[in-house]
Amino acid sequence: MEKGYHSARVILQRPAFFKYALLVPVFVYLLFFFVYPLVKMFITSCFDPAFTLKNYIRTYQNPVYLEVIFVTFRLSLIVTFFSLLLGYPLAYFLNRIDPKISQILMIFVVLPFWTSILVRVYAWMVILGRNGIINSFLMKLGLVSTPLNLLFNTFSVTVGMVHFLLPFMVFPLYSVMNGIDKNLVMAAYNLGATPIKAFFKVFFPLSLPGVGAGSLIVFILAIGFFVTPSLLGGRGDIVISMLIENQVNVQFNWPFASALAFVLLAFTLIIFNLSNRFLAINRIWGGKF
Amino acid sequence: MRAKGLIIFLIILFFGFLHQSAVAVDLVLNFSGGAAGEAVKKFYIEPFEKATGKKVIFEAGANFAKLRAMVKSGNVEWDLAEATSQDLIIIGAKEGILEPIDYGIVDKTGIYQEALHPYGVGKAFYSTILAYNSAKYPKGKHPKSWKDFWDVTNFPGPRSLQNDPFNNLEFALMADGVPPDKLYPLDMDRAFRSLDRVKPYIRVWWTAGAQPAQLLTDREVDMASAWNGRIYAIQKQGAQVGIEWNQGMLQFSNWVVPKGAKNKKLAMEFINFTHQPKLQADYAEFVGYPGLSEKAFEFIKPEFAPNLPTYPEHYKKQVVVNYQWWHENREKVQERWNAWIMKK
Repeated sequence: MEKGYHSARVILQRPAFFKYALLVPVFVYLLFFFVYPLVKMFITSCFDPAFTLKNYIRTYQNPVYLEVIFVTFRLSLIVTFFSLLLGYPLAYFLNRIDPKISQILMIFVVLPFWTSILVRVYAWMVILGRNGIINSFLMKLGLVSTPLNLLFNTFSVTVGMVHFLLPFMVFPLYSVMNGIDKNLVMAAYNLGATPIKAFFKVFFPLSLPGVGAGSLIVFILAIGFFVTPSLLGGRGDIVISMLIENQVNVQFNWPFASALAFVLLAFTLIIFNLSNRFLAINRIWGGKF
Repeated sequence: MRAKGLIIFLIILFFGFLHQSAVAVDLVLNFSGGAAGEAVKKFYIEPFEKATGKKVIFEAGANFAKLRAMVKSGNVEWDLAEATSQDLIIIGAKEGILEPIDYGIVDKTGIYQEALHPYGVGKAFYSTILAYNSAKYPKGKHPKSWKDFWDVTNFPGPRSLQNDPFNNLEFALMADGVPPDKLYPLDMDRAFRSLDRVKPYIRVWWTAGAQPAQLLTDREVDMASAWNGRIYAIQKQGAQVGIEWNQGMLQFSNWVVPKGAKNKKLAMEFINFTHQPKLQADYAEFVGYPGLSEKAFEFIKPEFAPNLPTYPEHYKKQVVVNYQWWHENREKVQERWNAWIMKK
């Protein structure tokens, strides 16, 4: 045991070559299962069969595709916003309480991952439906006379997606908050700040990298969502993944499906780049401030 | 000490590989899951295994795109697969990803001829029909045609249609007064104008086969287009949902053999095996989708027969889908549909 530990230390102190050698397995894996399929897909999108840009031209020729991309981004923004609204207080609470209790509560944050997303989507249908739990309750109490339209619209899609994506917001936030030195907030109190001022002037700005990272992760995941908007949404909630799926499974136009996917990828990369400039996302994997 | 764990792991791995190669598989099938999949297992696969002694395994969930990927990459896992729509066979034949059906092995007699294709054999008929809340619209006062479906004054209530132009264009034209025998070629402009009229009353545009049945059971909608077998399944459970066969769209799902399938001869023999009238009768009674054997009706219980789309009285009221038209027009219709469905 001692011997193994010692040799690891020695390796990591050797020339940089050996340190980078440790990255090779991951690199090879990514090369085969990520880079190669991506390149192949790109080739599919521009060779139909000869080299052509017609599939990319088609993505903006008919306004429907850009419209759907816009709807997708708008929905993802709404979902990200509400995930942040619910996730920040939750992460803050977990950060403030005793670590022993927060460890247990964290299990509840993770627990939903163990349920199938289809089961969760159908559960929301039961809760939000015309004869569902909420409507039955409100009708019985006489608070409403006709059932509320809670299902098959942007509201129900947002609820379903936030429900699924909340842990992805909570984890980076919690992680960054844990790294914030509590003494800094103490110092603010010592200097005469009220709790609210201390929070907004000291704690909140330091938690921004977590906000940025969590928002970015939630946003990027939300863009790719398929099942939830498909089952919980109305006709105004058509997202780009549904169109791509249609092109793959029904139209069999794989070059066009690939082109749509790459347009989506391009937009996503642009957003990531812009976010990185303003929100210093790299702090999330950078340790304490 | 650490080596011991490694050895145990390697032994388990070894036995894992051993088990895999020990189970010799003769035939690999792929077909739709759900009740239809259960029926294939019970009434086709198990008798086949008993009769021939061959081992059959299957993967549920028909996916023609996956079949295409398999053939193109040269890694064909399935010997027999399901193409849920005949226009898929037309595409498959054009691209050369399907084996021609050997009609020397598959007996053509006693089979509905419209479901025979050089590259595919019909597996089961199904209809997209008008399903309705039979508690709200008791039999006699229920919607009897797509015109009634479009009529929100006499038949109020939220509705559901599939988020797909397939079938919907035909329904829209029939609702607008086009006689069923004059549907094709479809007048797209007229169909979309007709759809505009019913659009505000569609609460859900369903995407999964199970949805309309679920929506009707939950009373989220009062009428919907649906595949008859799905409605039959909930009727069996006592749901108050009725089927109106008039102006239903009759279509069929198909068996296809991927090009380069390892056991293609056995696959064809399997298709032929499933055409036995008694097996077809059992299959139909279980799932509500009749097979291709015309003689199956001799074995189907008379009280059950009205649940099937090919029941003579229903058969004459329905319209058979023109797959050739859909093959030629699907792409541009889909694009127009995508733009249309999002408009306010």
